[in-house]
Amino acid sequence: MFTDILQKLIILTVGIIFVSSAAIIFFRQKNVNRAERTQIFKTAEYLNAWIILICFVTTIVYGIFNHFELKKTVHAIVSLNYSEASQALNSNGTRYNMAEIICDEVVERAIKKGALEDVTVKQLKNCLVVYPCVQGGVGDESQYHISTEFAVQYYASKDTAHLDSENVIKLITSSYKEYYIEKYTDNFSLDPEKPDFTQMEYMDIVSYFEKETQAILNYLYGMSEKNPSFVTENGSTFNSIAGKVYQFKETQIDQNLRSLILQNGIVRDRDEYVDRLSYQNKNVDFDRQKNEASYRLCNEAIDMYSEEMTRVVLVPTWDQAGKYYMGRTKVGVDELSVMATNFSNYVASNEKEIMDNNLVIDKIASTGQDTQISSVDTLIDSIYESVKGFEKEAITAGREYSRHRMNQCIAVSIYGISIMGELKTLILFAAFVYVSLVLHHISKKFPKKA
Amino acid sequence: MDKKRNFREIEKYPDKIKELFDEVIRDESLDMWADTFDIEIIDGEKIEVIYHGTESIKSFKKECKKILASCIYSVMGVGTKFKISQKRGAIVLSAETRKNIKALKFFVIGMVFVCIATAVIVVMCNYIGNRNFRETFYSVSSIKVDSSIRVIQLSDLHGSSYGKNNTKLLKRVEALEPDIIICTGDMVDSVKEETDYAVNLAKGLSGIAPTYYVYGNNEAEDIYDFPLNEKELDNKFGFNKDNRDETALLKLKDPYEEKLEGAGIKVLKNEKDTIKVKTMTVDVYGVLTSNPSCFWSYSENAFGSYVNENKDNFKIMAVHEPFIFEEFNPDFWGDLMVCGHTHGGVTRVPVLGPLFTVEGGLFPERSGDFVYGRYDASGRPLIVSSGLENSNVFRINNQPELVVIDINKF
Amino acid sequence: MKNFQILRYLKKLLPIIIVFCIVATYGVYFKLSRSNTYIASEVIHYNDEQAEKGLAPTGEKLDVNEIKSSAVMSKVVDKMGLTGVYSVDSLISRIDITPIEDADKVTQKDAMLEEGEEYIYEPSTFIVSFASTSGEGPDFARTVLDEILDVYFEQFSQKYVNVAPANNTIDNIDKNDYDYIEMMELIDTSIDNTLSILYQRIEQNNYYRSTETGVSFAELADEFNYLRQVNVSALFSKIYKYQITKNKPVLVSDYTTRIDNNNISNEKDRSLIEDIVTVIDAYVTKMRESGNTNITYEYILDNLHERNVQDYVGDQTVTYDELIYSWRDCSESEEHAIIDSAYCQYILDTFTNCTGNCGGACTSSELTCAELSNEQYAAERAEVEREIDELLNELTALYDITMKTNDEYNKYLGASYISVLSSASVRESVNVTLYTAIAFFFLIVVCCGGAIVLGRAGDIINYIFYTDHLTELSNRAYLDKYLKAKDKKLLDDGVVYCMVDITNLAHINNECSRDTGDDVIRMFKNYLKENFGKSKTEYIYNGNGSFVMLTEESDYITVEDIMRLFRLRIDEREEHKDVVIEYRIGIAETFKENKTARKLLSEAIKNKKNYISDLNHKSVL
Repeated sequence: MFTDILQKLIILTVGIIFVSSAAIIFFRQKNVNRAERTQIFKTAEYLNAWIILICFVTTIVYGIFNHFELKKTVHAIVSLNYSEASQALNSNGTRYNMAEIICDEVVERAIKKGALEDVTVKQLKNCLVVYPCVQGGVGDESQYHISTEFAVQYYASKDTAHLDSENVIKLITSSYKEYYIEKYTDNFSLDPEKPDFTQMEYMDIVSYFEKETQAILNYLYGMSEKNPSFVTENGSTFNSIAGKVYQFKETQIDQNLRSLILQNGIVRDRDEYVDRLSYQNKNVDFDRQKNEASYRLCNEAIDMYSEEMTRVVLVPTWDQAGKYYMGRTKVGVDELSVMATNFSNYVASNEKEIMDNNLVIDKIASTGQDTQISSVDTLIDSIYESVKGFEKEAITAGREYSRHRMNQCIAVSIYGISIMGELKTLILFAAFVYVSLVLHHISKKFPKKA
Repeated sequence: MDKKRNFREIEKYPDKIKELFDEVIRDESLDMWADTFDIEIIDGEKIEVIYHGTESIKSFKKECKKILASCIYSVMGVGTKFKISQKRGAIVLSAETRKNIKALKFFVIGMVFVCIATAVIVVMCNYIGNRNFRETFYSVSSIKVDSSIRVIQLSDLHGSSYGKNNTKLLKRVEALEPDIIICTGDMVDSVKEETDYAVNLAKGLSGIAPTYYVYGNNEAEDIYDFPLNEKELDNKFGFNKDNRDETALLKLKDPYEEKLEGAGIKVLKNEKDTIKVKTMTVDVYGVLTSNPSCFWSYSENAFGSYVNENKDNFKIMAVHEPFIFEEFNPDFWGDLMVCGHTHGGVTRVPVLGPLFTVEGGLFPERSGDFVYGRYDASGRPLIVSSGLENSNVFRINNQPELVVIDINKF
Repeated sequence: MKNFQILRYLKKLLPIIIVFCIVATYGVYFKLSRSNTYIASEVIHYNDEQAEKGLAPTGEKLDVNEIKSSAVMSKVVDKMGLTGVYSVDSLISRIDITPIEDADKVTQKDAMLEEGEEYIYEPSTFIVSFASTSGEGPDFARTVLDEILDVYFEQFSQKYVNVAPANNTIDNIDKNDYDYIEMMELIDTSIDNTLSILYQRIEQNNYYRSTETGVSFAELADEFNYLRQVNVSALFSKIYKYQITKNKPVLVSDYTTRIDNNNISNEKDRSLIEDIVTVIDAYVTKMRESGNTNITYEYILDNLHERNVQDYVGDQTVTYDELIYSWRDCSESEEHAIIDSAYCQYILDTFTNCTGNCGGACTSSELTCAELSNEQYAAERAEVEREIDELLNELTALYDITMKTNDEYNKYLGASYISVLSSASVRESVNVTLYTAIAFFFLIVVCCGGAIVLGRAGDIINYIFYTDHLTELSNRAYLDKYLKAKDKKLLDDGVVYCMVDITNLAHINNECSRDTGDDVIRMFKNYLKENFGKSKTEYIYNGNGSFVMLTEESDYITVEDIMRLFRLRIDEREEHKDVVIEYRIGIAETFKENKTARKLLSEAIKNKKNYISDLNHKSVL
C-alpha cells in the first residue's frame, strides 16, 4: 500500500506540474505576440541539466515503486486441454464450473500447500478474480462460444501484501489442478490397507478376493469400453489385462483357493462358521418359500386366465436386427409367464445357495484341516500380491490412457512482471516528466503581463 | 514587391535599411546594436543580416529582429525574405554558452553520481533482500504417482544461516510439509573447519521428513583431498580403464558422512535408497562423481541398477552439478532430477538471464548451459536451484531460494 | 463583414467548450456506470427427444422455470455463502429465461397446424441470464449463473432421470431403542433396498465410475453384498445362538404382534380374493356372451409400427388383466404373510427356546435361557454391540461413498441431458464506454455548433450596426459602445490609444474627387493595419477621415515606433503621389496611471501632432 501511495503521489505531482504549466502558458500566451512566443519555444533550454537530472531521478524512483506495485499483480492462464472441455464439461462428463478455480476448497488448499501465514481463505479469495479469456455471446448461434481458457488474476491487498504474488498464483493454480485431478479425472484404486487375513474366515477371504478382482475387471472393462484399441507402453490393451485378471480369478481364486479350502474343510472357527451358514440357509429358505409361492401363484393365475380372453391380434413390426417380424399383442398371460419364470429362477438360485452352504457345512464337518492351513495361508499371500500386481498394472494402463486422452488435463501459464512492459512504462513516464518539466521551465518565460 | 528592381537601386538598399534602422530604433538601444551587423543582398531579393557583435546572436535577434523586419519591409517591400546569421570565425563564448558548458559538466557529474547511487542502492537492497530466502514452487507430473508428493531441495548453503541455527529455514521447511528432503551439496564451505551448523540443520531436517544428502565439490574435495575427476581418481587408486573399481572411492574414510548419518539423514554416494511415500515407492539416487569425466567410469553400474531396477518406482536423481545433463543424453535419467552448484549465475540480468558461472563464463545460459530453473533432461524435468548462499554482494536479482517441487498425476 | 472563419469562433470559446465537455462527459459516465447492470448469459439445450414435446425424460411436463425455483436458488445461496447477504427471492428476480425457437420446427409446426394435424413443438434451447448491479461487478453475475446451472443440472437429473435415491436409512439406528435382532433386520432391509437401487443403476450404466470416489455402482453393490454375506450373517447367527436381546418380553410381544397382524391381513386378503374371483367370473361370462372375444388370428393390426410409441404414454392395461393381477397380488400377499408369520415364530422359538441349561427357569423368567445359563453371554452381548457399531460405521462410510457417487452420477446425467451451447458470457446492459464516447462527441458537436452560431451572429450584428462599410472597420457607433462599456472601469496598464485624422480630407474630396478621398482613407487603413501587424489592436473608423486604434498589452514607445514606420510608408507610397495629405497623429497610454477610456481618448486627442505627406517634400513632425 505504501508503494502504491508513493507511486500515485509522484504521478500526481508531475501531473500538477504539467497541468499548471500548461495552464500558465495558455493564459499568459496573450502577453506575448506570435514571434515572441515562437522565440520562447525556440530558445527554451530543452537540454537543461536540471531538467534531465530531475527527470532521471524521478523516473528511477518511480520505476522502483512501479516495480513493487507491479509485483503485486500476477495473472495466470488456465487452459483445459481435454476433449470434453469444448462441450463445457469436466473430464468426467459433469458440467464445468469456472468458479471452482478460486473456490474455498482450492484457496484453502493453496494456503496449506504454501504454508501461507497470516492470511485467511476469505482474504486471499478477495484478491482473486477469474474470467474467461474469450467469451462469446448469446445473440445468435455464430456468437456461441465455449470457453476453455480462463484467466486468474491476483492483486495483493493490504491483508496479503506480505505474500509473494507469483507464489500465490502458482499455489492457486497448482492447487486447482490437484483439486481437479482428484475430483474429475479417472480414479481407481483398491483398498490400500491389507486386511488382517488371520482374523478372517477362509471362505470370506475367497469372497474378498473375488470382490477385489471383480473391481479390477470392472475398471478394465469400463476403460476398454472407452477405448478398446488403446495400447499401453508395454504393449497391453485393457482387454488383454482384463483377460489375465479374469483367468487368474477363475483359476487361482475360484478353483485353486476355494477348492483347497473346501476340500480340506479349512475353517478358523468351525462352530461359528457353521452357525453362520445355517442362519444363511434359514434366511434363504424363507426367501425360497416366498419365491416358490409367487411362482405357484403365477401359474395358478395363468390357469385361471379364461381361454376366451387370450385372443390376440398380429402386429407387423421389426426385430432387433431390423428385419420385419410379425409380433402379436400381449395379454396378461404373457406377463404372468415372464413373472413365473423369474420366480422360478429365484427359487433355483436360492436352492443353489442353500446347497452350496450345505456342501461347505458338510466338508467342514467331515474333513480334517490342520495339514493344509500353512499352504492355504501361503496361497492367500501369493494371491494378495498378485491381485495388487494386477491392480497396479490396471492403474498404470488407465493412467497412461488418461494421460494420452487428457493431454496433460490442465495447463497453466503464469505471467508475472514483464521487463519490457516495465521499460515501456518507464519510458512513457520519463517522457511525461520531461515534458512537464520543460513546460514548467517554458511557462516561467511567459510574462505575467504584456 | 517589384521584382524588376535595377542593380543601382539594389546596391543602395543595405544602407537604406541601416539608416532606417538607426532612425527607428530607440535611442537607448542604438548604442548597443548600431554597427554590430552588415547587410548583404543575395540574388537581388533576399537579405542576409551578418551579425558580428559581442553579445549573443540570440540577444540580437530578440531585440532587433522585429525592427529590422519592419525596415526591410519598408525598403524592399512586405514579405522580403531575410535571415540573421553570425559572422564566421566570430563565435565567441558568450556568458550564456559558458553557462551551458558549466551546466553540461554539472549534468554529467550528476548523472554519474545518480548512476553510482542507484547501483549502490540496488546492491544494498539486494543484500538486505538476500538475508531472507524465497520459496520457488515447481509442479511436475508423472503417471507413476497416485497423489501429490512434495520434495524440498536445499542447495549451496555455503555456511549461510537463516535465523539462529537456521531455525527460520527449518520452520518453513516444516510448515511446507515435505515428503522428501534433498540437500544437493555445498551445504558447507569446508568440512575440515566448521560442520556443526550443517549437522544441526541435518538433525532438524531429518525430524521433518526423510532427508538425503549428496556431496558438492566443496564437501568432496575437502573430504578426499583431491578433485573428483577421472584423471585424479585414476591416479589416486592406480586405475586405468580396464581395472577401475567403482567402489574404491566409496571405501575411503569419511567422518563427515558418519556425522550426517548420526544426525539421521542418508548420504547418497553413487547409490540409491528406496522409500515409501504415501502409497508410492520412490527411489532416490545421489551422485558423488558428478564430473562428466568420471560419471560413467566411476558410477555406471550403480546408475544402471538405479535406472533398470523397479521401473515402476518414481525415480529422483540428485546431483550437485548439472554438467552431466548438459554433456550426456541417455534414454532415462530419472523422473525428476535436482541439482545446484551454479548459484543461478550470481547476478541475473533482466531479459539477458544469468550473468556468470565459473564454468560457463558470461551469460552461460546463452551457450546452452543449465544455470537456473527448470530444464528438460531426456524428456523429464531437471530443476537447477540457485541455492541458499547469501553472503555474495554481487548476488543481484537472484534471491536465495528454497525449492519446493510438487509431483502430480497429470 | 468578417469572413466566416470557424476556427475564430471556436478559438474564442474553446477552453469553455473543452471544460464543459469534459465535465459533462464525466457526469454522463458516472451516471451510466452507476445505473449500469451486468448480465451473464448462458445458452443451454435439452438433449432429450421428449424435450421438444415439452416433456421431461419421465414424461412429466418440462418446466424450465425450475431454474428460477427457490429450491435451486437456496442451494446456490448456501454454496456461495451468501446467506444473510441476499434474499433468495431477490436473486430469483434477477434470473431471466428466454426460449430460442428453431425456425424450421416452428415453420413445420405452423404448416401442420394449418393442415389440421396435431404437431407438438416446444423450444428446447434457452438463454438463461442473471443480472448483477454495477457494485457487484461482472464476475458476480458469471459466478452466480454458473452455480445456478450447476445446481439445476443436478436437480434435473435427480427429479427426472435418476429418480430413486440410495439413502442411508440406518443412520443413528443404534441411538434408538431397537433390539439387536430388530437392528439387524433394519440393516438387512436397508442393504436390500440399496442393492436393488444399485442394480438399477448398473443396468442403466454398467461402466459408470465416479472420478471423485473412484468406484462404480457394481463395486458398491459388491461391497454391500460382501458386508451382508460376511458381517450381517455372522451377527445374525451370533444373536440367534446366544439369544442376545435387550428385553425378552418386549421382543416376544413384538413378534407375537407381528404374527397377529399377519393373521388379520390374511383374513382380509382371503375375503378380497373371493370377491375378485367372483368379479372375474362375472366379467368373463359377460364378455363371452357379448362376442367381443371372437377375434381370429387373421386379424392384423395395421400401421402400429409406424406410430411413435411414445405418443401413447400411460397405463393401457386392460381391465381383465388388472383383475387377474389383483388376484395374484392378493394371493401373494396372503402367502407371504404366512411365511412372515413362520419367520416371526422362528424368532420367537429361538429366543424362548430352553436348552435345559437353566433348569427351565427361562420359561418363567424375563431373561433368555442363554442369559440365565451361559457365562459368556455378557461378553458375547458386548461383542455383538461392538460389531454392530463397527458394521454401522462401515455401512455409513459406504453410504457416504454411495451418495457421493450418486451425486456425481446425477451431475453427469444432468450434463448429458442438458448441454451447454455457449458458456457464460457477461455483457453490460449499457455499453458505458460507447455511450460515454457518443455523449462526448455529441457534446463537442453541440458546443462547437453553438460557438459557431453565436460567433457568426455576432459577426452579422457587428457588420450591420458597428461596421463602417467603406473601410470594413468598426464604426463610430462601436466606439461609442466601447467607451460606454469602459466608462466606469479603469484601464489596465499597457493600453495605448492612437488617433490618426486626415485633416485635409474635405480638401482632397473637393480637389481630386471623392473617390480619391475614399482611396486615401482605404490606404490609411491598409498601412495602419500593416504596421500594427498582429498586435492586439482594435481599429475603428470614426468617420470623416479619423481612425482610432485601441491597442492592448503594448506601450507608448512601440506604438510610436509603429507610427514612425507608418509615416515612412505614407511617404513612400506608390499611389496618389500627387496628392498632398495632411494628417494628425495622437498617442496616449495608461502606463503607471489609472485612466478611463474617455480620459485616454481625450489625452490622445490632445497629443495630436500634424504631419504633411507631400512627396515633393519630406513629411515633418
